[in-house]
Amino acid sequence: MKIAIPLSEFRENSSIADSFGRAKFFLIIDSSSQDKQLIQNPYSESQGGAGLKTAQLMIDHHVDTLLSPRVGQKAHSVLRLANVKVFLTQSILVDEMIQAWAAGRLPADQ
Amino acid sequence: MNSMAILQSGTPSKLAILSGKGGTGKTFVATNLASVMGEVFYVDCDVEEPNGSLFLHPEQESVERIEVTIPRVNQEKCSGCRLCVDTCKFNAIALVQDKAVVLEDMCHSCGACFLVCPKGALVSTPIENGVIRTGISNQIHVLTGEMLPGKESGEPILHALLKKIENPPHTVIMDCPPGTGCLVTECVREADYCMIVTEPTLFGFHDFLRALDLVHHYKKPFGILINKWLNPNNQVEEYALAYELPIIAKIPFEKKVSRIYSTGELVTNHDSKYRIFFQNLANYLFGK
Repeated sequence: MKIAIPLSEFRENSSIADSFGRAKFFLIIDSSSQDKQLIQNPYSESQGGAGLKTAQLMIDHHVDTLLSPRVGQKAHSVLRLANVKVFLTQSILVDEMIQAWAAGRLPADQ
Repeated sequence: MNSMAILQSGTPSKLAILSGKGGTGKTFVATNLASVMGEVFYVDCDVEEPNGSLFLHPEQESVERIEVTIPRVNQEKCSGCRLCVDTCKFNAIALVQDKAVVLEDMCHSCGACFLVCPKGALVSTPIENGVIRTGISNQIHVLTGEMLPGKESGEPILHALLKKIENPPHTVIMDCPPGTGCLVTECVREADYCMIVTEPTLFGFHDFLRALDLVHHYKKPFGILINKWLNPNNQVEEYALAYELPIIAKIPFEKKVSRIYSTGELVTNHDSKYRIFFQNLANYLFGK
C-alpha cells in the first residue's frame, strides 16, 4: 500500500503542507517495503486546476491512501474515481500523523 | 441630462448594462429602463443567477432546453494514451487504471479531446446545461438564461441567448452578470453601447475601473450611471471628472426606492419622479 503526505519542504522530516493541490512536495511511503520517496509537485503553482492535476499525480504514483489537512472537492472527486482513501491530518508532524492513521485515529474525509 | 440620443434612433441597438461589482443596481436600472420603452427586449444575461423576471413577471413563458456535448469514454477503444488528459485545459479528464475518465462537471464542451483521441474512443454525448425562458411583460420581451445548478460554465447558454438577439427587431437591453469575466466580455462585445452602473463605495470604484478597462478594450462607447449616490465626494465622480468620462446620470440613495425594489416591484410603477427619470434616460440613450 502506498501512502502520500503533502510536505512544505523537500525533506523527510519536513512539516506537513497546509493544502493538497498547492503542496510543493509529497512524501510517498510504501507500507510493505517501508520505502520512502520524495517527489516534487509540478502543479503547485498552477494557475488553475492544481487540485485536479495533483490528484492525477497521486493516481500516477499508485497512491492508495492520502493523509492531508484538507482536499478540495474537485480533487477529491478524482481521487474517489481511483479509490484513493483520504484521511484528514490533525497536526503538521509527519511521524505523529502516520502513527495516528495506523492506529485508526485520523478521520476519513468523505 | 440633454436629449441627444447616444444610440441611433430608428435602428434597433444593443445596450449592455455592466458594473464590475455586484449589487450596484444593474437589474434595477435595466428593468426600470425597459419598463418605459415600449416594445423592447430585456435579456437577462446573468445566467448564474438571473433575477430580472422577479421584477418584470413575464407571462406566457416558453422554456427551451440548452444542451452541450461532452465526451464519454468507450472503454474498449481507449488505449490509455493520455493525450486527451494532457490536452484538456480544464482538467476534465483523468486517467485511472489506464483508462480516460471524464469529469462531467468540469467539462467546458470545447471539443479538443475529440480532435486528439487517436482511437476514436470518445463519444459525443449531449447533456442539458440550462434553459432559456422567453416570456412577455406588457410590451417587454423577456429573455432569461438560466444555468443548471452545479454546471461549470454558463457560456453555452449565453451564446444561445445572444444568438436570439443577433438581428433584433427592437432595442435590446442586456442585463450583464457581475464581474468582468468571460460572460460579461461576450455581452460587451455584442453591445453597441455600454452603461456602467456603479456605486460610491470602495468596492464599487475598484470594480468600476475594471469594467472601464473592459469597455475601453473593446473600444465601445459608454456612459456611467452612479446609483445610490450621496454627494459629489466620491471616487467614481472624481475619477470621471479628472479623466473627462461621461457620467450620464446619478440616482440618489433613497430608502423608498430600496423598499419598492425589495418587494419585487418596479419603481416606475410607484413613483412618477422615477418614471420621468427613466423616460429621460431612455430618451438620452435611444431617442425615445
